[in-house]
Amino acid sequence: MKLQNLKLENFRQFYNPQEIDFAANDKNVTLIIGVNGTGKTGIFRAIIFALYGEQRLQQDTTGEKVHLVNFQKLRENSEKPVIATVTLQFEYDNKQYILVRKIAESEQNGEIQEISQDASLSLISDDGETNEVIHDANSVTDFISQILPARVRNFFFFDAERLQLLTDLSSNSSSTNIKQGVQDILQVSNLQRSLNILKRLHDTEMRSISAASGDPEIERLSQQIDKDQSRVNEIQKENTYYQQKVQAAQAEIQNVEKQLADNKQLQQDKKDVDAQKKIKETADNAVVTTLKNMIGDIEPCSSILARDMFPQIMPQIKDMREDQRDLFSKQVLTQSLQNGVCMLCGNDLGNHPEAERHINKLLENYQSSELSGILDLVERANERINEDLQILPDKMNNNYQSLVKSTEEAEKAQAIIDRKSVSLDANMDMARNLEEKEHTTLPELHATVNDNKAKIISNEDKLEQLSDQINENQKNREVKLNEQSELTIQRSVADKTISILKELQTIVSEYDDEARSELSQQVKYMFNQLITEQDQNLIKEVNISKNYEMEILGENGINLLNDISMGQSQVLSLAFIFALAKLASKGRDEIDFPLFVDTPFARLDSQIRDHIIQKTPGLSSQWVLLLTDTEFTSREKTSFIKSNGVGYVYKLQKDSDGQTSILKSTFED
Amino acid sequence: MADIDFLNSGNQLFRTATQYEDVYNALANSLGLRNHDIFMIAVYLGVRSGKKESARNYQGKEFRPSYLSKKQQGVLYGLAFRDRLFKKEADFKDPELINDAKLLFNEYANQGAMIIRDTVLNGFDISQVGKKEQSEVARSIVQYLLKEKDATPF
Repeated sequence: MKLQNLKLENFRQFYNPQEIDFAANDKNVTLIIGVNGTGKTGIFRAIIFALYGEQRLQQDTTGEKVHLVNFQKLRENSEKPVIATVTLQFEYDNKQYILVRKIAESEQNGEIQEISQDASLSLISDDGETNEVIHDANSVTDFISQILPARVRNFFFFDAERLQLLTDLSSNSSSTNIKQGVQDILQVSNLQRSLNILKRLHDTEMRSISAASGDPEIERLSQQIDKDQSRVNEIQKENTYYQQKVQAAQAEIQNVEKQLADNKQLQQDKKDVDAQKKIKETADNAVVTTLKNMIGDIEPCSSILARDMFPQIMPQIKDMREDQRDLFSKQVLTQSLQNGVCMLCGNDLGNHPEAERHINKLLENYQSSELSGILDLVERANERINEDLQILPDKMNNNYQSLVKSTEEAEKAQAIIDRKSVSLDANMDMARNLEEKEHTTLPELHATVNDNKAKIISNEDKLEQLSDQINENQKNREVKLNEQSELTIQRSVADKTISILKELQTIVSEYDDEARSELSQQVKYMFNQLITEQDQNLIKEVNISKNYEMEILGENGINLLNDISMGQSQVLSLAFIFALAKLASKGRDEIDFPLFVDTPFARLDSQIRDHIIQKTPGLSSQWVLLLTDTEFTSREKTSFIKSNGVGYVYKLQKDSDGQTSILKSTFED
Repeated sequence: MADIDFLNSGNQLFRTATQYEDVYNALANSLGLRNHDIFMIAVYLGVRSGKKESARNYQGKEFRPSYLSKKQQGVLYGLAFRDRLFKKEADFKDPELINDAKLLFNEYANQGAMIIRDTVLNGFDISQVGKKEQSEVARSIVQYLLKEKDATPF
């Protein structure tokens, strides 16, 4: 298939009619260059829409509906239908085709509604006449799908930034679509279909022989064989269905488990935050208590600083007391009587009543000046400060250390709480949601896997029994048929069919083995063609299993699929596509598809870009690249000129919002 | 107590210097200390420094000296003795000398308040210090007291 020309009218950003010729043959590279928002992906979308009638691309991530009619045209024709038309001219199997696909939309009250879709396919005869051969949209899509099945078209029309071919081909992927697509391209699927047709032919022949025999027992056996065979088909379908359910559930389990692993971190964060909150609370309480003690001690502790004034005062106090004849304070007498011991001589007043009487006499005659009370205050202040001096500094120091420690603990805990709370608060809903998944969804999914696996095993037992039963009945029927000589000719035809069937089975098996082996070797070869020198030994071996799952082994025998860089991964995907196209096109030129790539170089370094620019034109029949300005610097330009493979260069020019022109250009522009 | 105990008299009122009112506010707001305790802390620090500081106005905080503890009163009387303001009983009855004593105490408190402002509250925006700064102010004052305790006095 070769793309020849694309015409756009009222399509996406292209307000005015636009046209692109696609390069082919010796200069088979078409470059379409435009900054973001000018409509590169619009062109990609136009090709996919024309071929398959699809409005959405694989890379459309949001669920929003994609509108294909130019917005400005819709606004200018408010409430009236506007038709966007894409016309694609291509060559396939040495015939020229023109595919026209249209979509009508209208804008009403700011809402865009799709009204209709239409498509037609015309064949251009040798004398240049155009004859419409297919007149409805679905049939056009069917025709194109026969040329390039929808499930393999992503190998040839893709956005390189979102290419996930390798992921889909890995053994972990539950996607059977891509793996089946590879088998389709390699014709393995067609061969399998041939086998099925032969098998059905043999069954029909045997039914006819049985009917012709007139033997009710042979007829009964044949009916039983058909019935069993039909049951085998049903059970195999069931198993395919159960297998799909298992794969879907396993994929979901993987997804949930991954989310739960993330959630574990989240849960751990929550535990940490809770623990830190407790630590902080304890530290905060300690700070409050310590501060209370400390603040209470500040005044007495400060008074210690004034202690040095007392040694100067005390002699003065003594002199003043002598002047006042206050050798001892009145309190000494009252305290002695109260304690029952004389505070001056130490006599026990109980044993010395004369001493008690003397103290009472002194008290009766005690004459103190008013000054004595003042002097007492000074002396007691001195005593109190001296007492505090013994205790308070150490106490204060300990409290100070404790306060610093508790404050630091509280601050540290708060820092952890603040740090962890950022992610925790944002993900609290998810954490709760995953808790639900862990306790409800996950057990249900495991149950689904186990139930379906049990059903598959049970079905496999039934299949074995049925197979034995069919073999047994076939043998019995054979014996009965051998007794009927008039059916010899029909039987020899049926025998021939079964021998062809067996032969074909061997061929299919060998072809399949060889195709996988060749594909493996070609992938490695193509990779080394495309990759830079330093990565030439990256791949030691490529293995493609019977299920078409790919394994890429490095020097150390480890699967590289998850370990290579994004750039290397893109090169490997390209290598796989080229290898596949090369094997598929062997002897079948019509399967030589164009390679249509959006943002081809985004993930690649300049060296790999150079290699790909040099090598790809020789590996593909047609190469159409939709490039951003950053992918087409002077380096790439030089490289493309050197490759001598570029046929056409187009530049997308934004005239105004919603209006882009496609301008034919040259490297010099 | 005798009549000469003017610090314990309900008629006496102390007014602190206007210019150090911010120190009183800062310590009261952050540590919850009462004015008479702040006054005494300032006196202790002033006595320790061996310096007095005069002030132009005394329109700052006011408190009754009768709220002072016995120890605090003892320290103030001791100070009046030490600085030879009071020498005999009769001096305590002389209103002029009593006013001189109150001025003496205030001048030591002024010096102390200045020290507090320049050391303890250095690094704080004194007009904004409040409960939020309690821990920091407490740590600062305790650090100062512990350091000063071991230092050689004036």
